[in-house]
Amino acid sequence: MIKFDRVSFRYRDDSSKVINDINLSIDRGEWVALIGHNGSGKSTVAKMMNGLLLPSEGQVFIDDIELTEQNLIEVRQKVGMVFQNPENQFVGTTVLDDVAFGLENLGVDPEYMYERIQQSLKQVSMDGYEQHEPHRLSGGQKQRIAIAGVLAMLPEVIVFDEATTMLDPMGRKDLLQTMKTLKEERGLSIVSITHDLTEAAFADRVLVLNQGEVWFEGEPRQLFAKGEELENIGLEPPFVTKLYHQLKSENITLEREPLDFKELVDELWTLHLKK
Amino acid sequence: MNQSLIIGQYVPGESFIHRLDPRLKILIVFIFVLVIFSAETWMSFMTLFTLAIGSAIISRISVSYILKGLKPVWFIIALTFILHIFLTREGNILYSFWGVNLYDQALIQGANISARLFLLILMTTLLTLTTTPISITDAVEALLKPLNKLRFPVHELALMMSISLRFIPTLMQEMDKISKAQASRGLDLTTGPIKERVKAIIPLLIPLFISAFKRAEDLALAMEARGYRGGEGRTKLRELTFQKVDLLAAIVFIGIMIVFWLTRT
Repeated sequence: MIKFDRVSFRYRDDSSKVINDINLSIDRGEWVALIGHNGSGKSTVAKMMNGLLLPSEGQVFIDDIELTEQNLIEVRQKVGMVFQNPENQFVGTTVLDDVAFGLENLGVDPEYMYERIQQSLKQVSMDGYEQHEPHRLSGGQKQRIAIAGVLAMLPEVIVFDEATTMLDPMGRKDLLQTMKTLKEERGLSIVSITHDLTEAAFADRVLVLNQGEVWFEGEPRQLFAKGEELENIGLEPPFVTKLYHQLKSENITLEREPLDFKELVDELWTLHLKK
Repeated sequence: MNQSLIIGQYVPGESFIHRLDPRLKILIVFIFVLVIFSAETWMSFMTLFTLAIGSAIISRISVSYILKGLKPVWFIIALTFILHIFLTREGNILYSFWGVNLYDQALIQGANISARLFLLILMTTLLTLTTTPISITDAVEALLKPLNKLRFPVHELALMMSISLRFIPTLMQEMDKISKAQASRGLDLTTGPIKERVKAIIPLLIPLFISAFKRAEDLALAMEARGYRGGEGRTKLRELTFQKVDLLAAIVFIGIMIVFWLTRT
């Protein structure tokens, strides 16, 4: 789906490389979390996925076609993006206008627009809000409208560039749930860029960037097993992982390392039975 | 926001006037405003008043709402009338009081100008009261389209208008937040001499500008990510259509204009 072949990036010819010789691939229907601390280059990687930035060296392939200046529009239709600040990506004066924005850019016949907008809004459970103005929506609702705007363009991948960072806990939970549904029901690939390891636990695969290089690649469980090493590169392990390691140092070993609260609770209440 | 000033505010409704094609409405108001200044006779003023007040009635916006909204404008109308009475020195003296003469021409001139101002403001207010800002933007884009040939950036202008409209509430909220933040640091906006108060606005404006630039940058990126590449090859969700009601309104308007032309002098 998306493939980076020995990609490097520098902002100016004389500045140092922000991204250094990265190889990565994202498959169809896969959820990949891209994590790293501030300045690790993760947002730069995200922007190279739909041609907002073009690599200084190496190539980016979308569906086996190399991304160049000439095919930017096709690529942007296939790879949608949702950004961090819900307020600053709302273009239209109403929800309807905003979702239509991408379709208008693609030159879609207005006859088909309403149907596609309706479907997209339904998918993010925001139908019935068509005439609402942005200042009457919460941050989480605005993010869902942003997703609807991308969905209407019928993408294959959606890149979430720290899309949950500015939301309250409820909004964050809802958004992650929406992302999960999209992956399961529409078979979309999800790339979530984050520094929140709890969010990374949702992914099928995790890529950790550090100083412009891939530091780790694998399942979330394998990543969390690294424990203290994570803190050394500026990442905070989730509470569940921390508790697991602390219990371990007290000589209480859980059978398998839990990923979320449910797994943790299950491990804990069955712990005594297994003895 | 100033609640008493209604110019520029939209009142939702389903009336005949609300449903008219915004392009037609803008054209009518434009012609009307031009024509006002050639009105001289009683009859011609009567025609224009019939049209303006008739439209106001058909729009089903309550009279008291319109009158209340025009409150700040009454003052300007009254002022021009009084100024004309004192400054015009033509025609016959009607009345003399303490050496100040009241001329009949002054009365007529004053009434003329005040009536024109009133008509002008009433019609433009009706336009914005019955048309959403976004429809006005669309209509302006459609009407200016011929200028495209002269390399005038019509699409960009319309997009700028609609983005400004969208960000007005956002920036107002932001302004509110900044003024509270600065007040908590001891900034005083409400007391002191005018000079000091004007100076106190600077610490509000600079953060506002900085954040507006940041927003603009983010928005540009988000627009680009959604495939924006200027007006070329772009379609529009809302297409303006000229319908039967519009034709009817246009015919009525042309009829009134003919009556006006005949009674003008």
